[in-house]
Amino acid sequence: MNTLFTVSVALYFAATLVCFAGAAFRKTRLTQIARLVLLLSIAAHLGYVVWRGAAAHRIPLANQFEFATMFSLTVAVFGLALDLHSRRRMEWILPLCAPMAFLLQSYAALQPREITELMPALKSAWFGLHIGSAALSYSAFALAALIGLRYLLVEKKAEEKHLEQLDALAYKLICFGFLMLSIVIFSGCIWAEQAWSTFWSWDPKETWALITWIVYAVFLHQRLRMKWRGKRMAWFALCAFVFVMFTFVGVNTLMSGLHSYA
Amino acid sequence: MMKKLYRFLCSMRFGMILLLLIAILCIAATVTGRDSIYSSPLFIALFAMLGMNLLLCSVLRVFGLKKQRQALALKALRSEGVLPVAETSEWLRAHHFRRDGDVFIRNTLGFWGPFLTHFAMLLLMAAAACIFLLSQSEDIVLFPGSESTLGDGTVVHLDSFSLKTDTGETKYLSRLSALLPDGTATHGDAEVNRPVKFGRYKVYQQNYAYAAVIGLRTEAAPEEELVWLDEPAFLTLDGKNGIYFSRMFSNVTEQDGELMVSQSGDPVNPAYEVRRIDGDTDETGLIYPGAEIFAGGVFFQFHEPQPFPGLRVKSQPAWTLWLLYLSFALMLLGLYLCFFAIPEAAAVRSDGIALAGRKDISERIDLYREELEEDS
Repeated sequence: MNTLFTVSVALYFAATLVCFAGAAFRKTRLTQIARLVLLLSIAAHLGYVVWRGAAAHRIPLANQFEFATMFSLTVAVFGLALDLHSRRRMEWILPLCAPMAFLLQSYAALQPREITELMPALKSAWFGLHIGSAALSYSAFALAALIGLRYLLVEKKAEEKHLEQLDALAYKLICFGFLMLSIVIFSGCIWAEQAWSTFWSWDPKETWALITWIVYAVFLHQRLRMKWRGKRMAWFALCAFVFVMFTFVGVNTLMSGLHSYA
Repeated sequence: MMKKLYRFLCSMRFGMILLLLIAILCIAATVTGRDSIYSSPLFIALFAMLGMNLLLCSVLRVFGLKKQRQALALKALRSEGVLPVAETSEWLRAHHFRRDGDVFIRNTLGFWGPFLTHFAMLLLMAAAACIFLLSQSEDIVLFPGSESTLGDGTVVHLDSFSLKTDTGETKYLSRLSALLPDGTATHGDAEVNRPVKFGRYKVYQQNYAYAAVIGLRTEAAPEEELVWLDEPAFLTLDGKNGIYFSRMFSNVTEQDGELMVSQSGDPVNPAYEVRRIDGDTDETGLIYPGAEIFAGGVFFQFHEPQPFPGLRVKSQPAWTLWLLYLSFALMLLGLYLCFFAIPEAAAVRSDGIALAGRKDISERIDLYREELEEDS
C-alpha cells in the first residue's frame, strides 16, 4: 500500500507541472488535464490515508508523517473544492495548491513511516478533533498565504475585480483557519487537563500555537481598524504563514517538550 | 491628559500592543528555554492589562450595540448599490431578512459576535486565574501495596499497577482504593487521559518508572517481605551490617571484556549496584535479579525490577472547570458569529433593494446580483 503513497507524490508532481504549463500557455485544455491529475492525486492520497487508518485502527494523525500527509491532502482538497465549487471559476488556484501539496507530501516522505501503536497519552476522544482541526487550520492558512503570493505576483496586471476576489478569499480562509486554530487550542487545553492534569503547561508547541493565534488575531483587528487589505493583507498572509510552519516543523525539530511525539 | 490616557487604555491599539508584547515574550521564552519568563511580574502584568483593556475596550461596548444597529440601518438607507429586485418582500423573506424599523436586517446575532468573543476571553482569563489560585496539586509515588494520606485525611492505596493489558495493548493502569475522611471506602482505576475522582481529589496517571524489588527474610522470620526501592537505601537489622542499595542499571552488557551500563529505559538486562557490609566484609558490586546474598543476619533475595506509577493528586473547585469550558464555548460561538454571520441591512426603494453590511459585503452583493441574473 506504500505504492499508493508514492503514486500520490508522483501525481502531485505531475499535477504541478501540468498546472504550471496550463497557467503559462493559458490553454483551457491543459487546465482541465491539471484538474483531472490533481483529482487522481487526491484519490490515490485519500486511498492511502484510509488504508493507513484501517491498518492502524485509528485516525492517521499520530506523528509528523501522518500529520504532514493529512496537511497535504487537506490543502489539495481545499484547492480543488474552491476551484470546482466557486461560482466564479478559480482555476488560478490549481497552480498554487498542487505544488504546495507536492511539497508537503515530499516533506512527509522524509519522515519515518512505520505504523506504531498509539502511545497512551494519545488514546483520547479529543485526538481526532484536536489534530484534525490543526490540519484544517494549517491548510486554510497555507492557502491564504498562497493567495497572498498570487496577489503580489499579479497585482500590477490583474483587474481590480480579481484582486478583490483574492483579498476576500484570503480573508475568509484566515477567518476559517483562526476559528480552527481556536478549536485546536481549546480542545488541547481540555485534553491536557485530562492527560497531564493541567490546562496549560507553556510547552513549546502550545506556546507557538498561541503565538500564531496572536499573530492572526492582531491581523484580524488591524483589518477592522486600519483596513489592512490588498497588498498589506497579501504580505501579512505570506509572513504569518512562517509562524504556522515554525509551529508545525520548527518546534518539533528544534525544541523538546510534551508534544515531542508529534 | 487623563482623558487621553483613558482613551489609550481603552483603545484597540493598546490591546494589539499588549498581544504583540505577550507574543514576543513567549518567543523569547521558547527560544532561550527560560520558563521563568512565564511567571515573571512583567508577563503577568501584561495579561492583567490585557484583561483591563478587554473590559474597557470591548465588553463595555455591549451598551453600544443598539447604536451599531442604527448605524447599519442608516448605511443601508444611504447605500448607492441597489439590487433591481421586483418582488422585494419575497426576496427579503427568501434571504432571511427581518424588519427592524425602517429597514430589514439579517444575521442580527452577528452584532453580538465581537462582544461575545471578547467577553469569553475575559472569562477565560478569570477562569485561568481562579484555577491558578485555587487548585493544589502534588506528585506522589506509590508502590503496589503502599498508601499515601492526602491533605484532608483521604487515604489512597495502590492495589496494583500494570503497563499493558492482557491483549498486549500499552495502557498504564493504576488500580486504586481510597478511604475518604467520612469513612467511605471507594475504589477506581487511574489511566492516562482518565483520572479517577476520590472525594475532592482527582488522581492522574502521569508516568511510570522501575523500582528495585528486594525480598528480605531471616531465620526467625522465614516469610519473605518485599521492599521496593527507587532511591538509595541501607537495609539492616542492627544498624551496622546489611546492604546499601545505591542504584539500579536497566541494561548491563559486556563489550570487549568491559561492562557497559545504562540507567535509562525499561529494564532489559538489569542489575543492582549493592554494597554488602557484614562484619569485616565490605564489598561493592553488581547483583543480578535472581541472586541471594546474606548480610547482618538477613537473606536478601534480588527480584526483577518492577514498574510503579507516578501519580498526581489535584484538587480544584469544579466550578472553575465549568467556567473555563463556558469561556471556550462562548469564544467559539463569538468567533463564528464574527466571521460567518455578518449583519446585513436592506432598505426597500422604488427601484429595488439597497444593501449594506457591518463589514464589506461587496462580494455578497455581487453574488446576489449574479443570483438575480440567473433567475431572470
